[in-house]
Amino acid sequence: MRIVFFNLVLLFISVCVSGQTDTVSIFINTGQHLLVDSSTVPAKAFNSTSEFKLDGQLFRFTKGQDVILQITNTDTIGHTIEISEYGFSAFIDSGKSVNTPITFSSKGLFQMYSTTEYPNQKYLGLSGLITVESNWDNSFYWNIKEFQSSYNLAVQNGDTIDFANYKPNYFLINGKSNPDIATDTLAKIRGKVGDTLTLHILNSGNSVHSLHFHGYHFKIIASSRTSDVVGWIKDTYPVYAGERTILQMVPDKAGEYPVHDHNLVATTANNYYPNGMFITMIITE
Amino acid sequence: MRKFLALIFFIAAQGVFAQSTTLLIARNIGKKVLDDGTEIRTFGYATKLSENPGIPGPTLIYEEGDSVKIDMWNVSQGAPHTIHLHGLDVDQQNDGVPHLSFEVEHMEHGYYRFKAPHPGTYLYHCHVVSAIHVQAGMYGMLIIKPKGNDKLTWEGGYSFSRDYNFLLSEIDTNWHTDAHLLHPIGHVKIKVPPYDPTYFLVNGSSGTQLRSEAKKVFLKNDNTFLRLANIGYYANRYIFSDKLNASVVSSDGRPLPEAMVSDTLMVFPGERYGVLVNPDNLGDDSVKIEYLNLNTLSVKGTEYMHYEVVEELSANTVSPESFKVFPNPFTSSLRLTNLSKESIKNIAISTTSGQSVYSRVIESNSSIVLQVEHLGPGSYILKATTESGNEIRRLLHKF
Ligand SMILES: [Cu+2]
Ligand SMILES: [Cu+2]
Repeated sequence: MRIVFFNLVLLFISVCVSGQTDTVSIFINTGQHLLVDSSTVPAKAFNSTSEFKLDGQLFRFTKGQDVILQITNTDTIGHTIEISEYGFSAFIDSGKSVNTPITFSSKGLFQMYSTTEYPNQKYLGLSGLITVESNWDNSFYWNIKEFQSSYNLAVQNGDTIDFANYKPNYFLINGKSNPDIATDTLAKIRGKVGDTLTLHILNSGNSVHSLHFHGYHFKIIASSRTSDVVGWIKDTYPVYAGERTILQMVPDKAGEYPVHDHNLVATTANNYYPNGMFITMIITE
Repeated sequence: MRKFLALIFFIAAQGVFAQSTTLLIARNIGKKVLDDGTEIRTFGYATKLSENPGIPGPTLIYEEGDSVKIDMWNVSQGAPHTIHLHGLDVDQQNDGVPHLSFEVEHMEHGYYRFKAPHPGTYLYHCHVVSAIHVQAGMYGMLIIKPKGNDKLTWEGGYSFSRDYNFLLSEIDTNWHTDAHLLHPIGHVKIKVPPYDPTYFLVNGSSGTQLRSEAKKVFLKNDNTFLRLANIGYYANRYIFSDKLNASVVSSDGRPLPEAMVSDTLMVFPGERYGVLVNPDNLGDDSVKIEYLNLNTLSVKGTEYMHYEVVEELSANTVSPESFKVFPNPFTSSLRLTNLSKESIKNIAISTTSGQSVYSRVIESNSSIVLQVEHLGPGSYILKATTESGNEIRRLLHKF
């Protein structure tokens, strides 16, 4: 009797492992982030390996997927990691790994972030993108943020910072600025006339970024800030701090067109133009 | 032969739409006197060589379908300039981004061509070292009106009796020194100062300058259309009195799927909004406009747009009554009779909430019959436009 029960348990476990539940590794890493003017700032990121890289930090899942998130913290402090819409919360002590199951039951764009010393650890870069979709064709992802380099140093050193006096000097899409961002395949919008192109944006920074699209209007598909704007057709959209939004466009002509923050101060890097939040889209016939 | 016919047809088809050429002269020796008397150097677009390029530049107005040609002449002895047609979705060649289309050197002309698209509010501005040239003053509003009716938001949209444009920006005088304005030319990195504006502009004016301007006039129980645009580097928050019954109807040159009734509206850099106000109270008041830093969303400046609400149909009504409409109540058609000598140019019918349901350009005034079988039961407002003004009739549709 006991043997039968044990076998049943084994069978159940093997079904789960082989059929449905994948283990996805996420590392909390820390390092020096290289900026467009070759200076560096201390930063942190979620990566799929233990190598630090501040980029789009995108993790893809399909709707209904059951996974075990194995989060490993290589940082010197503990972090509480949350995905608010899923009620997901896990504390991972410095140097430890924690396995937490999660079912990605609804489609959309979500933020995974550190609530530790909120918002300072998130500010340093611990704000990743979770996309739950069935099809990623013609999808692009922008994790936009800005840094005030002195604040990165202060947070790293445990000094207090005050976002009421925030004067950021670097403006980033997936960790990069113009022109380095042009090589980021997640961010660089490429498509053909008539394609439906979907841009997923998370503003993981603390400023509003008023993104202006040359060449085409887009439709606002979703916004985590307000449903008022859903369905609007615009050429400029202000992405608020913490906002997730999905924009869709169908190009009607070929061309290379910029998308940039129309707060033109944000098209600079440490006060030098044009090394800020500026990228081009390339549409072909 | 077929090609020849096609060419003729092409020319004829183009001829249906107005052709217009607009000259804009790019200058870098503008002068601007700020509210406290401080004089700063500016860049800008002028229409004559003798003219100081203003902040903002001239408002360019076209009609839907117009073939527009802008001749930009750079007379600046300095940096190249361009015109970016912000929101007009023009082809790449005409988009005004220097490294993706062309830039216009000193004493050269650059020509920008486009077909005026959706009616709405747009912007134009220089895209060369844009952070500096826009702050320097190289910007203006560009408005596309629906064909044949400049008192309509768009075909099938809202009619209004009056309209006002508000282009907002800021000035940081530290950016207006020669050291920053006369930056190195070529593909080099350009240094900009920290941005800390202290003058907050509405159509180029602030503070006492704004207070000394004529009050805007809104008609009681009638739509006034406000076109709001932000070309600054801060956000603008408009706070409307609830007595204005403000509703947001369009943004970035497109109608909103549904009008949004709101007493506050945030307008971020590069955005444009169309707002209808329809006051139900007479008297003087003002719209409060706050300028917010985008990094902190803290208010750094406040300006007021003063207005007075007056009774509708005062001076500019055609008098005495120049036509009669019957039957009223109506079912499927309307006839205008007893037409006076003053000819009617246009007839528009809207619902009492301002939604346009019928619009027609009148060519011959001998007998005017309007086919309105598509209208459902309810009250409507018919507006006839003549040389000297508008005349309004209230109509009732019966079951
Ligand atoms: Cu210029
Ligand atoms: Cu622009």
